[in-house]
Amino acid sequence: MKEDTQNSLSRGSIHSEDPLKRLYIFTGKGGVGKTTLALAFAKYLHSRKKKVLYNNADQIINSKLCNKLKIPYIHMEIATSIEKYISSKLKSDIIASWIMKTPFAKSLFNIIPGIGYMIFLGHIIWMLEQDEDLTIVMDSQSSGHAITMFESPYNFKKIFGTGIVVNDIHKITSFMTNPDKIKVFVANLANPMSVSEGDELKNYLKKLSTPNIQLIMNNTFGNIPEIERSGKLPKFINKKILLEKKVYKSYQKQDIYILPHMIDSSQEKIIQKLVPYAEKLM
Amino acid sequence: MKQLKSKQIEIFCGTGGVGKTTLATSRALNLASKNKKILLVTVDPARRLKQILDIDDSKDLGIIKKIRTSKFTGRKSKNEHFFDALLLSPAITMTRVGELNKTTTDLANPILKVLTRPYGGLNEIMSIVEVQHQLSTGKYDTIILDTPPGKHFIDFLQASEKIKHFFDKSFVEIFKYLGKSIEHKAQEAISSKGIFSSLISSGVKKLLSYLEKVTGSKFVDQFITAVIAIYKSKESFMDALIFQEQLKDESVSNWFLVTSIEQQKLDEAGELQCLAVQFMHHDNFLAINKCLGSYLEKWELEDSDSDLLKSLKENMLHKEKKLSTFSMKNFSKILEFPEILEETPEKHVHELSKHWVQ
Repeated sequence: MKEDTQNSLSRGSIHSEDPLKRLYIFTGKGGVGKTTLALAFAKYLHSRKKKVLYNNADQIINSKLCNKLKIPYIHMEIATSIEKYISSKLKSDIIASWIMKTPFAKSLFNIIPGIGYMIFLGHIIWMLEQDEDLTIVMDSQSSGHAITMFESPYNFKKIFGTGIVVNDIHKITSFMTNPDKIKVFVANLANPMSVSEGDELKNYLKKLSTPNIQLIMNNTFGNIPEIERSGKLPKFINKKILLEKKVYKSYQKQDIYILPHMIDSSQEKIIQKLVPYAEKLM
Repeated sequence: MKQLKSKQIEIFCGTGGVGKTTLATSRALNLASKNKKILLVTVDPARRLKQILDIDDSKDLGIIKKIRTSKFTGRKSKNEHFFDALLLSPAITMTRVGELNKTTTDLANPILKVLTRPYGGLNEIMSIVEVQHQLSTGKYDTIILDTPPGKHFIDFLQASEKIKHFFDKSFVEIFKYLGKSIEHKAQEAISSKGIFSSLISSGVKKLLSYLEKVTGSKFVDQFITAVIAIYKSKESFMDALIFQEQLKDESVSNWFLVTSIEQQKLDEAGELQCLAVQFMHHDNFLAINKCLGSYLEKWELEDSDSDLLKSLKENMLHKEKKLSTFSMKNFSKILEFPEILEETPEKHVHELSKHWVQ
């Protein structure tokens, strides 16, 4: 076990000297710890005096937690992003706000969420273009909806065909495929369901030419420091560790970054404990 | 919990990773073993169901598959039980809508084709249409729904509202402008290229002309064709609204809000419940998954054990307690499922299925 783990830890292609990317995206199956990891990573960058903003693509940001942890964040409403985009294209705030108020536009964006996702991505990229020093850490949706977001510019490129929108979509796809600008973390837990979902997600993102995809195995019991030497473990924890080992085996040829289970009941403290590990994610 | 009667619709929802799919499958296995006719449907675009059930999504998408219970129990017998499973495919549902409304050619629209791809974004709406169709066949005692995680579950619940809104408001606007005789004028509108030229000024015209500026005219033409195609298939979409009503009916549906001990997201779970309340009746269940209680009871610490082990146990007990306080405060009917430590998803589902109360 020991050897196995250390092997996996050093097998990764994670070089701490890697230059900073502009956008870091955390995705993976539901409940694998995307938010916790993204916040720990944002906190790490912030502590290194980098200009960083945390963003949650899927839900309202837990601002209380961000404030406690002193992590700068930006909340973006998709509807606001759409309105801003329309206004920039038609060069009129009034028309944009009128369009967004029509029931037709409202139900259109409701019924086709991909448009919203795409404009949201465009908005994030636009912000990064405006400020060369900024890095954004995006706490993304879980697998299925993340794919809808990653796929949206390609889908709408097909739909729109011509028109000025296509140039903007092209900007999004070239950013999302640029290895100097983007890194995507696919988080997993050490169970077969999570692993195969993570694998599938990784392959799907690769098909979309997404660069720098890094797998993370989160919350493992076998890697809690000192656990092997801490005396007689109860049966169920031994079983958990045994199951984890079997999962590692399925990863044999892949880079994977393994994180231990953090023994704490408060999310704030867990994030703080994860910050030192975040450096390796660079 | 002493009693749990199965209903026509059973819906599993909760934040990500709590075990909705596994628990829903265990419910299907449990009911199928009791001779009930069951359809298990997954609405989540991540579709974990295929892994548990060994469904090949390159060819089985959108098609009902017969699943043997022996796949889980490992016991083959003469009178073996089965249940049906369905991985939703928005495209196949759309095809059926086309056949039903004789709108196949209308629906073969480039925009609709892209949007009904597996991750195209129409999943929630098409799944409601599909589930309503399966309900109307009357073939099943119970349809079990495994829903998308977190707030996307609310998207799913809102799908029928969105459909209604789309037909009520937008179409009234669009057709006011296209002319009253939809069939006739719509055909005319599609066949004439300069769709805007002959039309009077209206809000929609203005809107579409702005749209044309940004997206080009090809898109606007295709878009109008898509809208007309959907309008012609209105019946099928409006049928889905029946489904919404049934979710509010205590005698038709069981709601299982799933949460798990591992979850940090109690706030989110509470919020989800608040949001879902407007869609569901009050007779719902909280299913707590991955309970460690029975393991922790057996785990006796000794004085010589390290601080690490002591804090590990204390932390686990703390999480159990926190969740049980939350549950008691918010729910009257609570089901508990233990953490299952099995190697394969099949064994996992089999073990879980034994923990359903009758």
